[in-house]
Amino acid sequence: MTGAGRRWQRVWVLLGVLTVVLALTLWPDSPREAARAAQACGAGDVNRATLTTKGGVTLHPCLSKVTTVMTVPRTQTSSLGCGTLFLQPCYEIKWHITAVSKTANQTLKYADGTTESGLYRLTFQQFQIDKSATLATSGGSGYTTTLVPDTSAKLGNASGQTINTDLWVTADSTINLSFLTFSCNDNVRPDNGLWTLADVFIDVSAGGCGMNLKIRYAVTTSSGANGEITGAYSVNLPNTLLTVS
Amino acid sequence: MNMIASTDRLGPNRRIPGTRAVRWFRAYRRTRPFWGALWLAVGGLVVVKFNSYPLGLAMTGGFNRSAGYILGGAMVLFAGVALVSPLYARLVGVLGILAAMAAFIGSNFGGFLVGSVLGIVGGAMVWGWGELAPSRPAGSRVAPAGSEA
Repeated sequence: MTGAGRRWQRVWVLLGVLTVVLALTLWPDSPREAARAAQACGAGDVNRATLTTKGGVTLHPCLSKVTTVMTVPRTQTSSLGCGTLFLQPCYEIKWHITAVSKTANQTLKYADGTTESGLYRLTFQQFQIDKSATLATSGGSGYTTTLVPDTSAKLGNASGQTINTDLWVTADSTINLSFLTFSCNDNVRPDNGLWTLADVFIDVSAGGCGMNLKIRYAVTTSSGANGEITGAYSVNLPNTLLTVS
Repeated sequence: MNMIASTDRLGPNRRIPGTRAVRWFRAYRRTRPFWGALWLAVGGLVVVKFNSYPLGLAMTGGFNRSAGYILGGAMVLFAGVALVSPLYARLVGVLGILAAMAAFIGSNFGGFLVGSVLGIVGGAMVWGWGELAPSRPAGSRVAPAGSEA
């Protein structure tokens, strides 16, 4: 073996070992570890947000700035006579609520100390998904959870205690709501006056045809003491297909 | 006929038959820990094959998700290094064995045991590779040390 050959062999061995050591040390951290680090709300939890639900429950979550996008795509069933003030149902009803309300000027404080204002708190009462919905996080790896119930998936049951789902969403979130003479034709943003009308006029039940909500934080509470959900008032997913793609 | 010298126990003057490519390959594999490196590399590929995560997910997943690729890849890498650097076969063999053992813990039991076992066997073969002991002529005895008068 020549001296040059020995030197090259030594170089190859060093390169091989160095490659493995670098791969072990420089491989990026997992999102879970990064999220855990981001969720450290500082000494004494000074960066925890203070939120109040529609039912008056005060929460102090540690928010990591990850946005969950909930999407229910609209499906048009007719193109004749569609639009506001037309009674013709033109879109398939895909979700139900018994009441809605909104509260503007919400400000969230995140774990890194920053704040975001101009958010809306949307409250769905007895929120029920009849067809399908997808959930995806903006900070994840591009995976989407799809929820397809056989009949309907509910957060809490439809009778007894009232279950409220409070969502803190951005101003560009939209829903397609059907009540009175309003069909699902319009993408209704939280700053749209239709929300106020819906808050007043929906008394028993209303349907929706689609939604695209950019959710900063979501929580489900009951009308019981401290908003706790116990016993049968849990997530109800009968014959529901959950897929991750 | 063009012949090349063999490097086996019969000495450099023995002429071996075969095509030029066969003779080249035979000389190649006899001058490095070929079979050990092969098993080590196959073990590494098995570890990579049976890890739980696609590469795109492993790239963003920390060691738990990437262990299959890092340790399986290390086994393949050390196998390649053993082939190009036979002088360091002992070091590379030990590192290959360590990678195979770590893969057993870090990545789906090291490719459901298959990859780790192949890696450990291959790494041990690389580690133990070396010159063959000279064969004794038939009927001869090895005199015990210090027995010579």
